Amino acid sequence: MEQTIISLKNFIPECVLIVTILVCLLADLIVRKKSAVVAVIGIAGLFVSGWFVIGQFGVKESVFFGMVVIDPYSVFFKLLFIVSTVFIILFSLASKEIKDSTHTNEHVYLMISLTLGANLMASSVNMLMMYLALETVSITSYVLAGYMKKSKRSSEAAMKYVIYGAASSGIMIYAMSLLYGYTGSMNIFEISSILSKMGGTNPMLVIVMVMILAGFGYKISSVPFHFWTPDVYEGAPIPVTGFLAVTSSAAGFAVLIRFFSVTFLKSTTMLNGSLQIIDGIRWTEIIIVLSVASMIIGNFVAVWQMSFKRLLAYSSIAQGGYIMLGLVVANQQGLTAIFVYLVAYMIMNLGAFYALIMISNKLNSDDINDMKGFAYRAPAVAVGMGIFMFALSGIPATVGFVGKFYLFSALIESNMIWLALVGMMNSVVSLFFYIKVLKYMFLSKPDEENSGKIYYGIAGYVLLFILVIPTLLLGIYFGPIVRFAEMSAVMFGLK
Amino acid sequence: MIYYTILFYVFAVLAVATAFYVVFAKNVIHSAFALFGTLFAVAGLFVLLNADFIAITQIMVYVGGILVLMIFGVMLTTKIADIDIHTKNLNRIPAILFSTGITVILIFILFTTKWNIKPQVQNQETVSQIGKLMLTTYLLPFEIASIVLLVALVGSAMYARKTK
Amino acid sequence: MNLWLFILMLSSCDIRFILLVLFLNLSLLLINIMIDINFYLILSAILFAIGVIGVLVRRNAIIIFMCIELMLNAVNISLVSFSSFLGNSSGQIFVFFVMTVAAAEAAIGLAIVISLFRNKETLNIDEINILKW
Repeated sequence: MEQTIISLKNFIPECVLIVTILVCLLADLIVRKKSAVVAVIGIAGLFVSGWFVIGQFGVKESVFFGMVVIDPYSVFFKLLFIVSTVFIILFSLASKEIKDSTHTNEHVYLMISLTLGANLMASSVNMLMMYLALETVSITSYVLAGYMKKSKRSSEAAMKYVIYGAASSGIMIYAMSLLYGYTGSMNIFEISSILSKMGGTNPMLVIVMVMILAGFGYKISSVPFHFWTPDVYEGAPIPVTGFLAVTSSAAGFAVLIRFFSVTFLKSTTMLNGSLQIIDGIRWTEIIIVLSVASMIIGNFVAVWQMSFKRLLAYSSIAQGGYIMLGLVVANQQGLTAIFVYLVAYMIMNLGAFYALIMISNKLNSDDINDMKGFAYRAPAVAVGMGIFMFALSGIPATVGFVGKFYLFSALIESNMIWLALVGMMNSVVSLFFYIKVLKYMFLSKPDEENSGKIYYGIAGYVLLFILVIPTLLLGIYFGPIVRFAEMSAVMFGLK
Repeated sequence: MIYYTILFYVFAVLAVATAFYVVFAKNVIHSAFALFGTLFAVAGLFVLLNADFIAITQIMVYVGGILVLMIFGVMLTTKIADIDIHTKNLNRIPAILFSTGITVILIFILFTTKWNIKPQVQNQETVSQIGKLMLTTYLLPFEIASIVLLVALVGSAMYARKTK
Repeated sequence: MNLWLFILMLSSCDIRFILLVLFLNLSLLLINIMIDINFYLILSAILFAIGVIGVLVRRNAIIIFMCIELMLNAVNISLVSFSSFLGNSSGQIFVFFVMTVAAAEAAIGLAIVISLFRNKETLNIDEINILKW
């Protein structure tokens, strides 16, 4: 009882989110039509929750009987999720697809529930809690993926998502049950200390790692588990696609990084300099294979895509590969690089998806062929899209470059030069398809019948501008995010 | 002890046989009823494992809830309940080889691993233990499960509702 | 095996009789082995693999959901048996949450199935082909 009350004190941000979900639900029942009121309540709740999360910075505590921990690592991810959710809710107000789908506002509180699940994924240190948080995120995203229920594509996307998701989480908990049987505990710190004592020369642990990666890898759409990604991205409404690309996959990374670096690293040696992997458990090699495969398949398949959403799907598969490179390094510097990259990834992807929402609201399509000469029709949006595309490919003076720079330099400093080279070569390939979009927009003339100018409301331009500013500014003046990432790269239990 | 062994084999054979039938039956309704057998056999195994409360929950939740839901799903998506929904079986042989491979590997690792186990304690009460754990150590997951169910409720209501 | 029985078995040349005797002997052998955790784990591995075969082979969405339930049941057997043999109740708690999530997932899954069926009257996921692979 005592501990529950103490734990609740550290659990205020999540409680605020739960209250927000319930208030939005009630408001939706009262309003009974599409309205911005529910979205405003949701955003207000997210801001309050974010305020309490900032207050948690620097706390390192284990709460609720070792279920979740509050540490700078989880605070970083919570802020990331809350900021991206605020943007996504704003996008969903602007999106025509969401407006035409149903006549109420379920998406607002479903998105907040997803954020709640993602927050728990970032902070859980118990396998049960990890599974439950992952399922909260998954079930919410199944519903959101099929949000346009009159559209065949959307329900099909949801169908495929459910089947892949349920099967891969089944595989994951089978492995978790084996790990529980082997160590007799669900808490990853206890598992780590037991494994350190026993040593890892057991073929079972390899199977367990691969099977657990099936569950987490499906969330981050890493390569052997990426089959759902293009279809779901194409079928779901664009704000939801952006949400899956940013929040859901960042949550996947949060839980993946914590699970692997706590469970399979020696608990006696602490996070300073290089970490020691438990003898016989060579998980970094598995991660290297997945990461290289994700980068290569993501980038090369994206070259042939003509649907913008599928292109962004393959692009986010490849970006996931880059982020996993940071995990391979397995030290403080790698974690810092991952954090810098994640901030960049969030800004660039949110921007790209918002520009895509603006384009497809007017064109009713996400085919790149239909975007011919878009720069002549709506120059501001096209320029914005151009900036986000350059940032995604990692051109200097954008935030994408900073992310890639930190990742590759972390790799080079730990003598993994060939991996850094593979990553750089992939960045060059990725230039092709990001530039391809711009080629269609800027270099080809629009068709005769639809070449009229396109205008947007002032709010649309303001939101685009808010996203363009950090993309450029943080590309030049990146001190703050690097310092923030360095401060956050501290995990509970690892010094 | 011999009854324990015999019961184990009965339930194990029942579970595996009905599971095969679930996978390979031509008729969806037959699969659903075979699944009933599997779930029941698994509940029996839970009783043998001293998990009486879980066994009851298995019957209540799976048989009473999920299976009924599945049968409703079958009935709502076919005009006539016992019609044979056409099911193609693609890439059957590679899939079966793959799964057999998985089974062999799993059985191999299960045999070679030394589990850190104690002898089973018979007739030990689990309900009070589970109740205590649910409201202390596992309080947070217990509460979060309610959010999961709320989301499922909202989601299915959203799909089921008529749109203008 | 009993020597007399063996001679009798060979001398009667009846395949049904030989099979019966073999079966009885095998069951005697099996019944005399103490059931330990490996029996439960192997059963769970077999059920899990059957579920995986189903997910890979079948094309009807509802049957795929049933096969996923089979996989989850296999996980539950392995969790409960570990919990019982380790003398630790956490495994049984995990089973509760697996069941909760399975129920939620089944509800959402079937709602999506029905919504899909309204849009397009098929459940075979090969015929769901607007989206390419």
